[in-house]
Amino acid sequence: MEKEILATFRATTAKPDYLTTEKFDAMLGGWGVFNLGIWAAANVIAKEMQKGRNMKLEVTNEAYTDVDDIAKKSVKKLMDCGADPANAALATATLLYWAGVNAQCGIPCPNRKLGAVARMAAGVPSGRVASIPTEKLNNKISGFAATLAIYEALQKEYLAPFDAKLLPLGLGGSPFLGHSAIGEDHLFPELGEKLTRIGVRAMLKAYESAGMRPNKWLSAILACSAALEIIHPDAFVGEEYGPFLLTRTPEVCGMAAVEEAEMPKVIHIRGTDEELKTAKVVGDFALILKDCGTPTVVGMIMFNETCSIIREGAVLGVGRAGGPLLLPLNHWVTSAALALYLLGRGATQEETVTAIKKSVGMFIQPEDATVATNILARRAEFVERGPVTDAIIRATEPSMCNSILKRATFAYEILKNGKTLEELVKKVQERHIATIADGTARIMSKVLNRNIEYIKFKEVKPGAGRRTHKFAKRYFAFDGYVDVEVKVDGKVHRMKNLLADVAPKALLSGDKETMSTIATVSMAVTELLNSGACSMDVAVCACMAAAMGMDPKEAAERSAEAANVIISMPWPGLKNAAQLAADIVKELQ
Amino acid sequence: MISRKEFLSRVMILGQYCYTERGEITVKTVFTALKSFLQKDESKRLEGLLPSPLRELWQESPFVEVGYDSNKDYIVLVSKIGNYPYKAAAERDVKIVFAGIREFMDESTINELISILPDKEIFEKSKSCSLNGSAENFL
Repeated sequence: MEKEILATFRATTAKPDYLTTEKFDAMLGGWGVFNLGIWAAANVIAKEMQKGRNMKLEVTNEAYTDVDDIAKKSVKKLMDCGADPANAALATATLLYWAGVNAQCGIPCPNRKLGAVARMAAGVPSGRVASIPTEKLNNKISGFAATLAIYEALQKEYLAPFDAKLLPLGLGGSPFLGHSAIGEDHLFPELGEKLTRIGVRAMLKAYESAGMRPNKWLSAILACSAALEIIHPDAFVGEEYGPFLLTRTPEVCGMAAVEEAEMPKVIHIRGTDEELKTAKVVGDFALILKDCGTPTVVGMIMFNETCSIIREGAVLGVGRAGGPLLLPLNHWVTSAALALYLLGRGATQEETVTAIKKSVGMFIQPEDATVATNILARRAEFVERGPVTDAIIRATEPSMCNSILKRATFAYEILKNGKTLEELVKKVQERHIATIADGTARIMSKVLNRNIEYIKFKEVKPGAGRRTHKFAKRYFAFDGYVDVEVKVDGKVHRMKNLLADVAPKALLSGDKETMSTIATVSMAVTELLNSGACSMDVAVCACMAAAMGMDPKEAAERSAEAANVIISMPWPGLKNAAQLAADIVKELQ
Repeated sequence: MISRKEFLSRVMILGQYCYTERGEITVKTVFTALKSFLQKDESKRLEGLLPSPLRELWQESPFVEVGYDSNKDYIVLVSKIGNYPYKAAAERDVKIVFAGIREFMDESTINELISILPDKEIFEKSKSCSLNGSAENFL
């Protein structure tokens, strides 16, 4: 192997930071995210599982259980990684749930609920659904929408299935009502169902009113939580709702929420395709959210991303980093949560590796997604090593090595043949953009059930003319110019200056036809805007130029300048990587 | 006598499956693997022990030729036939089907059944709470 190729390979992979424009250290401060904390906590929990700890909430006569202990360790790790205590509680409960811990168990005492276990481990006060925000989808709402609608309905009409004034004295909280037909067969399920439906409708409406595509997942969960704040959240219900000892009010509310939000009854786990009852999962998380304190928007982003192991996530609004889009890495926790899920169910490392590979392969750009997952796992190991990152590194390292080596060899050949660095980067960028276009056409044809024959980016560059600031003119992510052509169902559509002109005009004028065409390319454009998440293409070019004798600073600057789309924001790490490549090549014998 | 529908409903509850067909698919996967794993005479004996609705499901489950590696481990065979993503998921479903069978057989037939089964330990562990009214696994 040529020493320039070896030096480039080693320099680009020497630090996880050299393959992304993301700021990994800032991720550890909790500023906007705390995803590395989730990776670390997943390792903490997995290590405890491997010690044989009892991962179950049970009706045992003891003050303190294994789950309490593990929750404390997980919360501490998350807080060390910048999570606010309430966010650490929610993230812990969510990870423990996916690791296999049940959401609730019990009788009046012990009455153990996973959300409360995690909240008490974090030492935070209880909260109310009205104060729980949704994940940020540019804008955001809160559970207040559901709570408000539910209480308005309680004032306007009579929602219980009987006249409560007829109840005899002394029945408040008694088993006469709570453990018998009145409560279990009528009051709890019937009222729970009504309240949940009201809450779901209100959440969906609030999303739309605030300019967001309604998030079915969070609408369903927060509406259920709001309903469970009112009805008995632990009660067993009549057999028509499900089997005794297995079905409680949260699942009944979940059933109503799933129906009202028009969610599928069955959801699947990424990488394994295992089936889960949507109503059960929604009900369980509603209960967890009700009890875990008051998370912030950042906490809710991380909650959703931790749940993005659900294959239908992209459609339902369950996180965004599970694919197929390659989002900024600060969202990414899917592989960590998936590995924890699998290890919690007894999968071997080999089986976990297979599932992770399959899951990462579902991205529009599987190579970039694999590298992104790898560098996150490697960075997370700085914080906490363990079985989760072990499995993920095993799943992604071979493919990452292949991707970098392939690119390094290509770059070497091009530069050796006398082409300039700019010509090399231009070729690489064109290939990167074409991969996004082809991948999006393939995936969106299935999602939209339309025949997207091709997507061609005619021109992509920084500076759409909407802003005059030099920074916006230089970096694609801040004022991107996009001309695109797409052939859908036999018809060719051309859109010039999509982001600054076509899209806002169509949306604001309610032009459904144009918006429907934009839907076929919007994921590809988003993917372009997020290109810096995995910047191996540019890192390899800069490192190769430096390894072949160019001044490292110049190699970094010229590469970044030429990669005016796929390096969508400033990236100081590129110069360090190029310098390292130059240093390595000098000492190679 | 238990009906086929009742048995499959019970399996669905024990497995917490999302829909009834999943129960039937699981039972047939476990039976196919068992049928393919056992010697012919053992297979015939086992069939004779099953209550008639279960025998019907047994007869509907195909026999498949298995390779040497699969032959060594019954759960691996279930995993391959059912296309499970990991072995523990297959083991879970085997326990669920066995627990369902146990509920509808008397003790002496169960003992005879155990003597034929390839993985006796798993069958021993496969007990649902309805056997003794204990709710320890569910509360």
